[in-house]
Amino acid sequence: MFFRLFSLISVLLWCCIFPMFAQERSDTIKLKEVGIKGKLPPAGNTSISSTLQGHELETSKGSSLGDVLKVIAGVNVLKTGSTISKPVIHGLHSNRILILNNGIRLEGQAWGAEHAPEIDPLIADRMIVIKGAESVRYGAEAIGGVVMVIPPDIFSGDGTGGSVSTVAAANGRSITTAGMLKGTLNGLRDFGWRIQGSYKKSGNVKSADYYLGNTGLREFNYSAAAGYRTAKASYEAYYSQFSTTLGILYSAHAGTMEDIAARINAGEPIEDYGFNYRITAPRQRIVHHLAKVSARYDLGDQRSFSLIYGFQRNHRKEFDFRRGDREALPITDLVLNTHTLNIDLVKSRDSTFKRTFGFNGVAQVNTNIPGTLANTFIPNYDSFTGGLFAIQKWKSRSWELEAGLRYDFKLFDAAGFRYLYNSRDTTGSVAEEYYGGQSHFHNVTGSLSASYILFTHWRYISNFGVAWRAPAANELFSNGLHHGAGLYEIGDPNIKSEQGYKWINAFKYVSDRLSVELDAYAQYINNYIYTRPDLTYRQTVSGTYPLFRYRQTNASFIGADLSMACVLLSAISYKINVALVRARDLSHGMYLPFIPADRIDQSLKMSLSFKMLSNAFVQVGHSYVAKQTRYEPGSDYTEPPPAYHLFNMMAGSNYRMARRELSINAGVDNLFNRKYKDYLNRYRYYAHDIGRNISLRIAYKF
Amino acid sequence: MNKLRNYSLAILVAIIALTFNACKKDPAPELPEEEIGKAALTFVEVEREAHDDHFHYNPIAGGDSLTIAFDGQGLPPAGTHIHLHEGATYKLSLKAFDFAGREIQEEFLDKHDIHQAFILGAPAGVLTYVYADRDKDNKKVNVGVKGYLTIDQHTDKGFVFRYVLRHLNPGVKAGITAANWNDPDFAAKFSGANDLDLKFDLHPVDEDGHGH
Repeated sequence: MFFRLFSLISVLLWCCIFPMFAQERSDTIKLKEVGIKGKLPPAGNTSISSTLQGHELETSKGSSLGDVLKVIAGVNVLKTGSTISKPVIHGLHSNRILILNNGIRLEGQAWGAEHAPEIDPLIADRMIVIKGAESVRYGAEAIGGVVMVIPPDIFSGDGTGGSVSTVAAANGRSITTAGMLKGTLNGLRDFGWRIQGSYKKSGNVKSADYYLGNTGLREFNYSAAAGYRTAKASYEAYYSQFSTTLGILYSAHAGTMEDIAARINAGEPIEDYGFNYRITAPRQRIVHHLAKVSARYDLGDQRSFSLIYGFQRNHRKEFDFRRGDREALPITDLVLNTHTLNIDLVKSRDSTFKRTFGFNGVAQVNTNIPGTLANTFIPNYDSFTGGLFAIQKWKSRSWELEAGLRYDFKLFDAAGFRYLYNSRDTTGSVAEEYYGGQSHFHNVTGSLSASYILFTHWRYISNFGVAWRAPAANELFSNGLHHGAGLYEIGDPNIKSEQGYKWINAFKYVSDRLSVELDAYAQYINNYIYTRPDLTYRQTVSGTYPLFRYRQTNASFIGADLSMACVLLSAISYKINVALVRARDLSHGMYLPFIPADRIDQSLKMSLSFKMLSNAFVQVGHSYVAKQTRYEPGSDYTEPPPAYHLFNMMAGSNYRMARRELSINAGVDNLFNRKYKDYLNRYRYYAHDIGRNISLRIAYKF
Repeated sequence: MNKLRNYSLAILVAIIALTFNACKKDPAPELPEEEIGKAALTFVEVEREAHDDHFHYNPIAGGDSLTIAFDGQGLPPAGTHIHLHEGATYKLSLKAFDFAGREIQEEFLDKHDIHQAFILGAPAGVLTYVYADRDKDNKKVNVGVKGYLTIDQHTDKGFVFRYVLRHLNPGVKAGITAANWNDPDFAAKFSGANDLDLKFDLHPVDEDGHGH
């Protein structure tokens, strides 16, 4: 019924807007030469955000999304071994970070810490990290922040152009190739198109002195986009496929607590699997499709209307060590179909006033594909979310003020079967029970933000936002062994939605030789959902497993990020990022687990001048990550690892030939091959992090 | 322009029509074929005959025989406490059953490169265990579905006998020998997970036995 309602709204809105558009057009003189080249800025000036583009993005090519974003102060990476990484913003990750892939909220099985975002970073022309809780504009789950991955504009540039690039890395003997071609049609400059693809192959990576078995990766991604614009409108269609197969570290395969304790005691794998490209169970295979159509109309009188529809199909298969010949059978086989519809109506006036009304709808169907012959970890479900918002912006020469209000409704209808481990039928088989039901969530969120030019070069931005998220399927209904974690997780169907209140302030100074940004934030999360050991165990024929139950508490996150770049001498520049976060479980007076430790990243860059080359540079970098001392003894399998220092080096240059450009970068990460463990790597119990990695990046733009 | 508008409208309607078929399918119960349902260990007394540097094991007519059945939680019947006699040798056989009660121990032999049992819990010098499995080609393999357990000494009191059938990570089995049958550090040295972890009270007694 909700899908029909959702569809009906879509059709009605679509049908309504064309007459509106037609009416406007009848009163409009068409100017063919004038196109809508500019787009709404993805992040407003009252947002506290950081943008990655150009050189910074180029030098991180071949890395995962999480690794690309970690150069931003306040962004860390939650890793599961070397193949899975997720961005962490101010201590929050997974369902508390919203990722927008080309304007569509990424909808995969984000609830799992070992489920990486299904995004090809190589498609990005820009990446923006918004650190505020901007749920009003972007919808639920933007509690910790928003990550926006923005591909190149298909209408920019003249004629046909593109790029090809190759990244080779010694550690894992990986090779990544990517290509992009874009242009306009001959004689039809208002029709733009773009095709893009990338392929990555990597084998077992090596820590400082041993290989990590089964850490290979294959990734194949491609996308195509086409758009047409007129003086008053633009249309775009986009399709992308992301597909990956990745291995899970053999050594992390542990069953009972006894196994886990033994692995932790060893601290590193006993077996050395050497190097190979083989990927066997345990492994993940994920295919993510995204199709998007969008339209934007200038309604005249400084009014505009935009509509974006997206469809995503996320197919996740996880393979584990299994009995008999069943390793070819997935132990988890989930398909998540998501429809999203975003509608914006914008009214501006003399660049001093802007009002936006919007609707965001999300309809999801999650299905367990039968035939796994194993207990399903999360149920089948339908989910429907609808949100209406209004944002008002006022602007003067020195200040800008923005206020927003939003209402969201979510219906979650789940159904599944689960094993009753303590009950067997007359044949001795494990009994099963039907579970599920409907849950409804309502939330009102709001935001207030201001930006003020204090003095010449100085700007102050303050942003207060209320964000929310409904509990995920696993938090409500999981009941089973979390493979690879060696624990049983049990959900709670009575869990309420989570609300985050985040106040973030930024002081920015920008001049020719110095730029400084200090972001300070405080966040209170009501009904923070987390797992806690139950101090009970589940007895099975293969041993005993600890039980973890989902609970709720109130939590606080307080922290600051400092980012500074300065020109020391004409050819030498220095950059430093510092990030601190303190998190507490306020209800129980305890520390929260998996909170990033204090971190400093700094680099010294020397620009070089050569006749034929441009942007030649040599750079040395250093990262320091402190030991996380704010943790609860006994709440984790082992205490956080020691602090560590890492050094890196990079050099590169561009060679310009008319409109073409060849760029070469070579770099060494973990220069001194330091053997270390990071607190945010979930496999730190079993193995060390990656050792020295020499990489070479070659890109040719034409 | 009108054409484009009509096409785009048709595409949108077509996409939305798909949502009508998008409702979740009612789930079907997934048969828990991955689960090992029950297991049983059988002790049958045999004669151990020295033969050069090894032993031969011969059946004894009317020899002692007992079976311990474990439920789906790996637990024996309440109060299980068995006596085995000093100097005696027993053929120790495993039977494992899937969710439907079908025997699956042959699977362990078929995948002998990733399975091995460990016999744990006994004080040093009390037990000797010898693997006696054969693969499809009748080649000797160390799995522990079948083996011979000799009681070398009696003990004053019983202990928890533990039979762990390990599902080993790739390549690990190559580093395990028959002499590791009672390695108490098996979890640390031989990475993997347990398929079976069966425990019961065993009391090796002298030849005359003793009463309880």
